[in-house]
Amino acid sequence: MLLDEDPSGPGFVSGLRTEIELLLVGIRYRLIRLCARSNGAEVWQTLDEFGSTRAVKIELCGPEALHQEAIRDRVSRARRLESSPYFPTMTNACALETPSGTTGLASIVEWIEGTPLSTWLAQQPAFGPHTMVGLISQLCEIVEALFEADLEHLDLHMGNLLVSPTSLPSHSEQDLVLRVVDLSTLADRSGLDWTQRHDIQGVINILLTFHNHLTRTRPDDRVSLRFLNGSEEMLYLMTDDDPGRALSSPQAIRDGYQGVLYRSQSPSVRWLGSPFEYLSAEQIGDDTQLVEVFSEHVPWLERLYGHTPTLLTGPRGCGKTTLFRWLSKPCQLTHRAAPDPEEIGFTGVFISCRSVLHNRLSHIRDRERAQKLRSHIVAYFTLVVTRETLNTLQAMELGEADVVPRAAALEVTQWLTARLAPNERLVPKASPFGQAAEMVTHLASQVYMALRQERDLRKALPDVPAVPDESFLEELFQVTTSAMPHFREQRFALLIDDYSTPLVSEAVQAILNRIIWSRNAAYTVKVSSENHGATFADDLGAQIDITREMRVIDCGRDYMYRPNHARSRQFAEDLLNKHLQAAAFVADAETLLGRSVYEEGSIGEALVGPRAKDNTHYHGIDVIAHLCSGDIATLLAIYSQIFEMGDVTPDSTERIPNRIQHEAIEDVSRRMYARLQHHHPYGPKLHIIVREFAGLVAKLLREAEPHSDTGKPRQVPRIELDGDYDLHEEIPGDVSGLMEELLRRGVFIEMTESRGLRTLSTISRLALRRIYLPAFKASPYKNEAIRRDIQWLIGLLRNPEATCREEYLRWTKRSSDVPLPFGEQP
Amino acid sequence: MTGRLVKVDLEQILAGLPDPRPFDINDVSPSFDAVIAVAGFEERATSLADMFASRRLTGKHLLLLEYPTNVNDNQASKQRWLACHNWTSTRQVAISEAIATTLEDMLRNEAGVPRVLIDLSGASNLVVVKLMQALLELELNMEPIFFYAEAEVYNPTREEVDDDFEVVANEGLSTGVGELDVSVARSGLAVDGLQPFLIAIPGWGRDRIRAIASEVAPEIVDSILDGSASSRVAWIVGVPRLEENQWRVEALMRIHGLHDNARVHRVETFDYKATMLRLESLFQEMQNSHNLTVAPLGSKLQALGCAMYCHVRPAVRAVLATPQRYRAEAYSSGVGATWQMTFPTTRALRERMRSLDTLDRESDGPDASAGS
Repeated sequence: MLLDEDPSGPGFVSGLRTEIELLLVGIRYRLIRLCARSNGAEVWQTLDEFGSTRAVKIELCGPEALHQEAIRDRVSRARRLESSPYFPTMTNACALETPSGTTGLASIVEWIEGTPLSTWLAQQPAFGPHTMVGLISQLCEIVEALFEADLEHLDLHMGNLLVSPTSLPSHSEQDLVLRVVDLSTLADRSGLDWTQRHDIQGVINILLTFHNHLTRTRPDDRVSLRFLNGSEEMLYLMTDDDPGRALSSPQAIRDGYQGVLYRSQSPSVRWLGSPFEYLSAEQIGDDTQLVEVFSEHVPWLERLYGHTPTLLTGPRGCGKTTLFRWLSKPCQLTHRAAPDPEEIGFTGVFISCRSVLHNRLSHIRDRERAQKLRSHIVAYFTLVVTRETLNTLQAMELGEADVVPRAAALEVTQWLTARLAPNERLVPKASPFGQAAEMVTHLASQVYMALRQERDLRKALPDVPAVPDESFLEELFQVTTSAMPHFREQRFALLIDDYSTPLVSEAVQAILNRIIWSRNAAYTVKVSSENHGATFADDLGAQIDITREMRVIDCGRDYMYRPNHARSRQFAEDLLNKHLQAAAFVADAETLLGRSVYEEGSIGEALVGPRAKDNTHYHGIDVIAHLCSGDIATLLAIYSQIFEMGDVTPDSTERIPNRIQHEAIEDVSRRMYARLQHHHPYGPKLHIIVREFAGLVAKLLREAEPHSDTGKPRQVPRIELDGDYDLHEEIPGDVSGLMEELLRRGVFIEMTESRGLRTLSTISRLALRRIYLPAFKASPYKNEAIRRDIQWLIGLLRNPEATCREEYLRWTKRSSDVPLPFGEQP
Repeated sequence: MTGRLVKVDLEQILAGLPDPRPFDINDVSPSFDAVIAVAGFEERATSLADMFASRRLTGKHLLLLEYPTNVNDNQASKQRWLACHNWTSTRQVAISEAIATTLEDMLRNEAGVPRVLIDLSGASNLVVVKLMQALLELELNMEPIFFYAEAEVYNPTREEVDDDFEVVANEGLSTGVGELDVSVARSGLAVDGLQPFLIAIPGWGRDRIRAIASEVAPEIVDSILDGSASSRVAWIVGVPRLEENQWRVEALMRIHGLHDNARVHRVETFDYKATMLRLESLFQEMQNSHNLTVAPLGSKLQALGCAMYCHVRPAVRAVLATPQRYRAEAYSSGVGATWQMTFPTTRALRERMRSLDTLDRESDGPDASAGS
């Protein structure tokens, strides 16, 4: 039993009181405070006559137990452990007679400041796998020290271990070290049979408590969940009924837990069963696997290199996440043929808005509310960025230890601890970055819980301890760069993925934009978002001039831009080849799909030619590459469907027949088109607009007069307006949301370069996403456009049926009574 | 302390929780510190109010929850609840507002552990989820007693389904998709590198479950539309309690296009524990490879099970989609059997749930290693 105050009441076994002086082996000890008592024993804090604080344990026992040999043995056993930092020094032991006349044995031991492990653990909500493994390593070293001294402690439990701020040799004074405080039970190991050896069982019971404590905190990060699975397996191994099989050596336990932690952070590679098992990088769990299937021919890759702040836009499925994950440092560390880091030019820290912001902050939608929660929003974002930075540094600690030396790691984590949690101490024998990440994760959870309870329970927003403010990240990266000069050249780049409404609302973006788009020398930012998903105003109304302050890459526009056609085809082919290699297929893309060749000259002519009903037109790498509008997931869906319908196996070497390719592509196209109906919001309206517009494109291909110069059929999957219009100013409120959704979902791709405009909200040339066209038997190529004014576009949004019917009549009847607003005659 | 390890599983946790049993007014202590009711438009939404009106039950405080939709349809039930009893205090709160803090405020000065009677009869699934969250997360300790009145006739009827299947399938009991709330109760994990997986608990009507599927993974919609198998969705289809309503299972399967190749689990609509255990078996199968989202659009008790499950497994996300409008005229009618469930105090319930997955030595009591 542990006592916090002096228990001077009756029933106290020894009859001792504070201020009483004991004379032990010729030295006087004044009793200061009773620290613990149990089973006829008491532990007192005392002050000896030389002014040194000592712990005196008094065990009540009969005179028969007090013979000199037993006392000498006790001291001698304790002294065998003096070289271990985990054990205090026993200065002496002697027989004692208390004022109440009882006899006992007094052990005089070095005084240790600290908190019992059980108490300490109960106060550790931030307890995580790294901290746990650090403590397990210490526990195992304690048992190893005992065994090396041929000793068993026999009473190793949470109450006999203090967590003490102590300097271990070669460690900083910040360390929290376990100290064994009761040396009275030590016994010679060689004198015990295996049934009497309890220390490993003591350790296992402590590990069980650690495990249950971590389980009860209900961690919500994948590493902790994986770690708990591994820890559970370890505990079953350690408690196996068969002592011969049970894991029982301290070294094996320590190594086992370190292995569990390592595997929790780096799950083992599972080879692809099918080349298209994952259609999105969000679904590839392992960085090694992501590297395997990544095509470095992605047209906009190199434009992301370097320090320039960059915005990468494109619809869901365009490969933004793949690219950002590939650029992150942990992913690069798994890359056997990684590009020279100098070529990439930064140390990428991947931050997934889908993972860390969407589920957490998406309910904050109005500006007033966001302002009220401002400091918490900033704190939460800053903390998750800090955590991902620490995780990145921890991956480097494992993979590039020379870049991230331990002294520098301690410097950074000490700064971090001082800033965010001044009372926290780290545990040695574990990664400082890993432990700091656990601390930061806990703080982020506290902020999130405060936000959630404010929302769900309408509780007053509690103060957040040590809130990091807007300048925190800059300071963090300055400190890190100062400690590790490597990062001066390889500056940190925050790869903020999917920073889009509705994942991150406009109101929250306005708060975060002051951090994200701030100019500073300590780090740079690369942001990906859906088209029109990122906003550029901050909550003070300041607008970022995006074309001046950052590089903008639009995946759809870049992919569909004519000079990129050859590169797009090369990318589409390489992408398939990478997936085939990862799944150990023998043939390559060209062998299985072939090139796209038409006797009629082009796919447009073939679709209206004499063999139009053959269903053999959509085939070959060139056409498949052209069906992509930057939506890389569509390419993979097409490949997947062709392979499935073509019964392609790893050994296949035959070209897949054109008919099968055609039918598979139409199938994918129909599915993508049908999906639109169920998107939220505006799903049914998106569906109708595509039905009418793609239907118009298909009809004009077949029924409009061929082009007068070339004689080719009209292929018009594009709308060209008579000027640059601002989406927010020119499109009326009743349909502006629908227009934004058409662009955000990539139903239409805006093809205009921003040309120095301050925002990305310009609409001028809109290309229909190509994958919808095969469902209507239309050509994905373009040799003509529908050239109209903004009113026509508004008409398309409000009444697509009438607008497209009218347009059809204009092109087919060439009626002179329908005036054309501008430009050439169709 | 030695002995084989045993793990506390969900079945053990649920073993001590109540099953619904017929509501017997002679079997309950008739006075309650607070009553939480929902002003819905179905007749059954006021069946409990009738018992207060006849003085067979008494209560101090009334917390009446109101929907933002169908305001006129709900007026009668609202008036009935307010007038049925001489309440010490009444609070009317919109379902989007501060349910939990209002409850806490109402009960702040009550001595001991307040008994709170919660009438689920008029509650939407969103309300059920929110109420359960409030009970599980408020620090205030309460003794919750749930009351539930079934409808006498559940719509759509078999005749309506047979005669006009497409209308029933497309419109169900509500129209359109209002809000898609991705963070109701528990926001779950969305870990990069894991595949999305939807556990769909459908109700009548297609729109809302498909909107949720589209948000989770659009390819699920493909499989629904073309009847192909999908590795990203499992369906929990509710099996009604009464024999005469069993046809509804097949009707639901038909509405949602569930063929032999779909992964369908049939679970009793009335058995919230069975819903939780089914969720648990899916979680155990997929936790390392998938981000799980559950869409509880089925029965109220299934929604209750989902809310409790997401509390014990915060890695699982709950998503609800509210309709643009409820079709009051299409809803169920009459009052059928009435049921009750008396839960342990909320503090005890929370503690019980927290012990999930902890390990014990077989020879010892629960979590005996702590503080050894």
